[in-house]
This record gives sequence, C-alpha cells and structure tokens, in this order.
Amino acid sequence: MTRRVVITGIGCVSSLGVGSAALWEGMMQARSAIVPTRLVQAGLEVVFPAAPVTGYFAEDHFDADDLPLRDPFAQYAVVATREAMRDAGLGAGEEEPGDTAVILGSGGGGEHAREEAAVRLFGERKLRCSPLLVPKTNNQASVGFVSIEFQVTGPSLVVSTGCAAATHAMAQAFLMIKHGLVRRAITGGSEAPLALSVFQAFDAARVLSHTTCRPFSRERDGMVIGEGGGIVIMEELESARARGATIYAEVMGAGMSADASNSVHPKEQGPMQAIAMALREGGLNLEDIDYINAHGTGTLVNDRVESRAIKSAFGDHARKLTVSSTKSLHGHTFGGAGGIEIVATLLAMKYGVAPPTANYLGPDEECDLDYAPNEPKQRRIDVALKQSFAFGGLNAVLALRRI
Amino acid sequence: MQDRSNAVIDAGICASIRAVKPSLENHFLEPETKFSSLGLDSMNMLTVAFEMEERFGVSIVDRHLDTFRTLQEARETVQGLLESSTVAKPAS
Repeated sequence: MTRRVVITGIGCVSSLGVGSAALWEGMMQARSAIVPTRLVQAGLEVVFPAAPVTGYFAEDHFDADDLPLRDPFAQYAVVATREAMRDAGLGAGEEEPGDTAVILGSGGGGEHAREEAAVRLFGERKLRCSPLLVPKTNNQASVGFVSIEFQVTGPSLVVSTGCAAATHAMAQAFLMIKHGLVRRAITGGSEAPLALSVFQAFDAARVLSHTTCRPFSRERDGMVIGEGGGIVIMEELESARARGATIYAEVMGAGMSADASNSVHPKEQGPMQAIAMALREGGLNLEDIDYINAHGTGTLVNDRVESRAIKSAFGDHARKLTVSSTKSLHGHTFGGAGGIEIVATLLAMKYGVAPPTANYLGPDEECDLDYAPNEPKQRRIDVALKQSFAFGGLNAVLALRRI
Repeated sequence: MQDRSNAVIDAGICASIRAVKPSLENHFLEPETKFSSLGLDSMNMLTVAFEMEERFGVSIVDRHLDTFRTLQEARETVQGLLESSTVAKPAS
C-alpha cells in the first residue's frame, strides 16, 4: 500500500534574500539579483556576473564556535530548514525522530574550504591540512548539521547529481514516504559555488554568460552561477491532516532518467522520459499541467533541448503551458537549484502567479513557448512540474498538485 | 630569533584556541587550566594544534599532541620544540 505525500513547509536562502518571502517578493518584482561579482583568490582576480546571497550574515544565524566547521553551503541548508520546519509547525526532537528522513542535494559540498586548502597546499606549499577540511568539505555536511540540529535520526543522505541534485533528493524523499519507510522528510538542497576555481572551470566549458542569464531568449549566452538553498518538509497526507498542517501541494509523481548519450550535451529523449514517468506515476494527463518551472539555465543548448522536449512530450498542450526559468532572477545554484525552484513553484501555485523569466529579449527560433517574459503572469496553477537536468545527462522531474 | 618568553608563547596558544572556539575571546586561561574544561573535543584539540603549528612553525600533531593538557604543558611543549629546532638549524 502506498501513501499520499504532501508538502507542509518551505524555507529558502537565495540571492533575492533570506527567506521564502524575500524570494517571492523579488520574483514578483521581476528583480534579477545578478550583479557583476569579483572573485579573488591567491592574488588572482576575475569578474563575472553572478548571484551571491544577499542580506545574509552568518553571525546572525550561528554561534561563533559553530562557524569554523560550516562552509556556506551547509549554513544555507540549516537556515532554510529552520524556516521550513517553523513554517510546517514542527520543531526539534519531534516524536519518533527515526520516522523523519533528511535527504539533501549538493553538487560540490564545501567549495570555499576546498579552494582555500588547495591554495595553501599547492600555492603556499604547506603540506599540513586543517583537521576541519574533511568534515567541512564533505557533501553530506549539510545533512549532518540538519539532522543534529533537529534531532532527526531517520534515513539521512546526500544526493550529488550536480544541477539536478536537489530535485533527485526530493524524489528520493517522496518515494521513501510514499512507500512507508518514513512518515516525514526534510529535503531540498543547497550550494555555495562562488569560488574562483569553480567559475574558471565552468567558464572553460564555455557555459557561463558574460552578460546575464536570459533563459529561452534570443541572444542568450550562458548561465550565471548563484548561491543559496531551498528546503521543503514532505510528509504523509494523513499525518499532516491529523496535526492540522497547512498543505502547499501534493507531490504526485517523480520521474528520473538518463540521456545515456553525452556527458555535457543533452538530448530531448531523456527529459521527455522523465516527464512521462512523473506524469504516469502521478496518474496525471498531459492536459492537467498548467505550469513548468524549467531547468532553463540560459545556455544555448539547454534551453533549445528543453523547449524541444516540452513540445515533444506535450504536443499541442505545450502551447497552453506557462514555462518559466527563475534562474534568470536568482542564478543557477547547482545542487541547490531544485530546492529554491520548488519553493518558487509552490508559491506560484499558492498565489496563482507564474514567476517571470527575466532579462528576456524575444523569441529564439526554437524557443517559442510562453515563458512569462519579464513579468509575472497571473494564472491559476493546479498542477505544476519542476524539472532539473545535470551534466552526465541525468534528469529529474517532480509533479505537484494543489489540494 | 623567535621570542620564546612565556607571555609570547601563551598569547600564541590562546590565539590558537580562540581561532577554534571564538567564544573564549574574553576567557582568561590560568596556566593550569585543563583544555578539556573549555569544552574542546578531540577534533577541536587537533585544530588547536594545527593553529599552534602555524603560529610557531613547529610540528606538533605527529608526536606531541598527547603531551599537553593545560596551557602550562602546551607552553613547555612549544618551548621544547622551538629550542630543538634552533639546535638543529644554528645557521639560520
């Protein structure tokens, strides 16, 4: 017997500010948080458009003694979880702590600490590493800190599928609750990749914009890296109802697939297959879908292939969908992206407004859907998809329905 | 030549401790204060030793980590290591 899964709490830290309200306000103002950002390390300096977290001061959220062990990605996960737990009306040390899972996404873990260690080791030629380096850089550090703070002892793990990590993590959480392994899960993801080495690596692959992020638009020239995290509380429907929790949406289905084609060049078949799986599992028809929160990185290839995949998967209904990429507002936060974007999707469903695709200049030959260009679009959203794709050709899609 | 006065070494050790546990900023350490009483766990002590190595240019973690539990003992360990390094490299 399977159980129905709902979302009862949301939390977020992003370049639009600390908290889900700041994210929503920024999106409704179509205010892109992308700014020229200077990255300095070991006497080297580069400037890129990027979306650093704003209005966040670590000392406001953590005791000074706790900070040396927490790289920013782990801090964002904890801060977003606090908001999500509060929003869900839950606290630390709930009854049956083994009945809650913590499943988070992170593509890179402690990138800041790792870069500083590399400078010391290879640049300064100091062989001794800080004893904190391993626990600070581990991708699962975020999961550990969340489980400790909230005294959660259920299945706890990190999913590290790059840009799809948070969405894959939420898919695992959904399946665990659906199949009765746990009753509740803290899930989503976080990332803090504003390190010079990360930018140089992505720039070498020619996927970074040197202007801004304008998904699905003509003249788009790449993605813009951001920092932050988004967390949701998933729980079994009856348990949520029994405690009178406010329900944002039901998680209907999760779809996952691999392109099995090329590490960096996506194919439409993989995303289409993941969309089909999410709909099938959720018992949804193509016509049920109102809104897609797209992966929408702003690279030439992703947006073209994603648009093609939507058109192939939905046929005529593709023209009735609103598809937007909020990465144009808060940047691409890699393993945190799905977390921030599912918060955006849930708020879009709550308020009946599709967040805009900012910085949009006009249709591209192959990107010719309704992308809610530059302004929020009022529309009732009963069923929405959140889709995320990663290098390696790895795809994850979640289907959500208002109840 | 490095200043080996008790006050200078004590200040370096205290700065190492504060780097690991900033809440001890205004905490006065007696020579006989046990580090364990400051709430420093084993990972904290490893990191304190790492910070001391940085400040004094000595190697503690490999062989000397277990030789001190108090400020006084840490000072003696550092003094001993500084003296042996000077003996080993008189020309520098």
